[in-house]
Amino acid sequence: MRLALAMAMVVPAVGLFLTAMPAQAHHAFAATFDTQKPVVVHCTITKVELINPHSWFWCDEKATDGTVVNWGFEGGSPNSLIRHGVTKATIPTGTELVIQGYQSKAFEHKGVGVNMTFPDGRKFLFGGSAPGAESEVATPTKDEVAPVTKDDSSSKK
Amino acid sequence: MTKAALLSLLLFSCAPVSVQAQTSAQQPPARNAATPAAAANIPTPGDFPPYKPPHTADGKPDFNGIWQSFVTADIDIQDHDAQAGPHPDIMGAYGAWPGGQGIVEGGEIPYKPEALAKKKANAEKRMAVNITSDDRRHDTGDPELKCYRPGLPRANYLPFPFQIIQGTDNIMMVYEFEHTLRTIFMKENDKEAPKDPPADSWMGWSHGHFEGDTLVIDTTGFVPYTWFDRAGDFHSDALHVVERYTLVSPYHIMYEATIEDPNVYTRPWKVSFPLYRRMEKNVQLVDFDCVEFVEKMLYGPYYKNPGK
Amino acid sequence: MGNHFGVSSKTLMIAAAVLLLPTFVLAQTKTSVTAKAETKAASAKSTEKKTWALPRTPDGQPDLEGYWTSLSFTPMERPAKYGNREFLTDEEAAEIHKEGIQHSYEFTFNDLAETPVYDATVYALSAWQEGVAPNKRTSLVVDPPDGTIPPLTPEAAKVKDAARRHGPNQDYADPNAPVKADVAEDLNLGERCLSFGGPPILPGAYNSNFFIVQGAGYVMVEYEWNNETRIIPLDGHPALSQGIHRWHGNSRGHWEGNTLVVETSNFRPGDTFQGANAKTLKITEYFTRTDQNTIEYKFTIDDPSTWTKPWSAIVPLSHMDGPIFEYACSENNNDAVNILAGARATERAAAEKAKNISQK
Repeated sequence: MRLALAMAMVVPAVGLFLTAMPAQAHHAFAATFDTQKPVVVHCTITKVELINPHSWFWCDEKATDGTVVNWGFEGGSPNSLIRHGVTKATIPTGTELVIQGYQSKAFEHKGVGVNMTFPDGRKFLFGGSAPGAESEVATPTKDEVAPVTKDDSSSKK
Repeated sequence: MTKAALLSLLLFSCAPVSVQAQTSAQQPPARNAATPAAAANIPTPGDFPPYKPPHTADGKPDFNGIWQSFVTADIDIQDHDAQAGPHPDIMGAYGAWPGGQGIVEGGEIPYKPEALAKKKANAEKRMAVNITSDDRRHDTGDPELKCYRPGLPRANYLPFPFQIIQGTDNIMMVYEFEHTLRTIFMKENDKEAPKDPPADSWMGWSHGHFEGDTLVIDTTGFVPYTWFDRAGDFHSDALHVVERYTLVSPYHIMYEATIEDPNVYTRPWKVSFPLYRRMEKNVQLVDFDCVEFVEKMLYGPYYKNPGK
Repeated sequence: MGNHFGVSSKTLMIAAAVLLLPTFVLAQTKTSVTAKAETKAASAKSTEKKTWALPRTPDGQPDLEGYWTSLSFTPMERPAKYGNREFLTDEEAAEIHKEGIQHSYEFTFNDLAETPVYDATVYALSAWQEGVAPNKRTSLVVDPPDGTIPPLTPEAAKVKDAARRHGPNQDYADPNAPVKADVAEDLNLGERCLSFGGPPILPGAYNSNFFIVQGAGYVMVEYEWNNETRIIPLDGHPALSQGIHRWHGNSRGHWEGNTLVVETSNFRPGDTFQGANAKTLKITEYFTRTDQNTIEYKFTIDDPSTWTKPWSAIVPLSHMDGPIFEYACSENNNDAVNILAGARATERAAAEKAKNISQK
């Protein structure tokens, strides 16, 4: 096990101290999502739920034959986003995203959104900001988040 | 002594005899000089003699305390008879619901015609529970049944106490029902209290200010999922609630809420009722975290043996 | 419907590329947030030298109001190498802070192959994005003086062995172990949105935040998780009888000089700190504002049926910028459905497989 996950009664000696809740949330992911079912979905946002305990992003994926499937991807709590100025208006309907994740065990079109980028490769919201970078990644403005042209740049990494 | 308190003292000491300062031994106006009750000086329901509330150290009317309403509006905010309640064959009188007079000023909620039809449909399906892992879980049924946060103004007329903790920059309202919490931002132009709701919530996004001794709270940013009662009265995400809290005696707050939602109603409308200070010695809130009582109801279809 | 893709190797490549950039490990450049944290620490030190006036509420109480985070990299117990040393050197503290930030950053990228998890940096939930402050202590535990928790009593040790997994069959040691989720009670209290713990206040991985408001005769402490709130009366009325139990116990407080002392008892069996005995557990907390950006928060755990003697810890509470948004947990508890439904799907798949094998 990579990290010293805190059980309810045992705590790690060094490093990041995790209370019972986040460790158990970590475990809940394993119970919910299937590591044998990775997915990459190129889709347009239909709904953003800034809710707890996890935000959810609903996103239409269009197949080559024109049929549309609506996916739901689980993300993190939105509370820190809100403290950083994100609002329900930040991510408009129609925003194009490329979402890498894992499908849920129970539902074909639900999953956890692990890596979320715009089609041009820019990370979603505050993603990819590493500590020590010159400045924090700013909250994308509504214009920056607007849909881009539909060429398939999902191979760009 | 603050300037405001000094001024009040001067005004009231010069006032006519019928207006009293802040004592608990007030003389209410006689109901009807001809009746025996008048001689006994029994208060008239609906009449509160003029009252000057005590102030906090920073000069604001003091709303600190534990409060509760005693109307039956949670069942139906309009006039309603007693009724059997769900599963009377098992629940008997335990499950029956009392009748009561409504709290809507004017008596009727001014629904648009199509909205009235939806209210009736809500009422018919109030006990429907269909929990999914997406927002369809909120499509049907009374959220109170599921122990969801009650929204406004329902939180204030649930049959449970709540506590007001009044700081200077924030007033907190903590409800015993599912430890529902409201943060009322009292500071203007504060980056920690953005003017507009960043996202929608069950209890809304509240800013407050004082108008004299009245606390006025303006709330928007509601999710559309809460109901006003078990009778299916509902709103959209355009709901706008303006509340007015006024201390009218040491033991009462007069509460009124103006409800506005152009998607659902033809005009704004109001509810009002007194809030009573809980006076039991050593009174405090206890827990009513009802989530543990509803899990089987919510998640039963996903259990290993759903029938059992 | 989506393209299947070898996520882990590519993601690791991205992570490696990012980490090889001149970042905090080598460079002196700081994020605005880590710079803020270090400025806070520096200004905290310099204000100790100046006369710092403890702010007071309008009615004269020491002012504890505001938003505070308990986020910290300091371990609960002291690593043996520090012996009885309570404090790190400046260099040691800086190194541990850097390591903590690196750990929390890696958590997002390197764990994917074992356990699927969302990228915390997207949601500004990584420790440095949430404003973790450096702490010069070697451990949170300060008493006993060696910084370790006293031994369990024999009866408590037996109980802990039996209940090593939190909940009936959840093995947190192995994230890939099958999960027993037959009914809601098989999930833990957080997954059920029932209780997120406390007292005492401890560091959490994220949203480890508190909001304190003081009214006349009461102090309110709100925890970000599920907006769970403790109301602490200061009027000295008697403790509750054992007939009432509360998810976070029942608290009463009073001021001793500039320190708010809070005593909590009446815990609910099944939801106590480290599984202590709800009947005999008493927690005492001490809140002292030591500078503009810090509350020194100390707690003492006293449960003679669980630990051989009382023990204490100090958790730094650092000022953070609010607000705390509504945390309507049960209302949107998609996880409860997805965990239970996931267990049912796993059972169906196993049954299907067994049927196919038996038919061959």
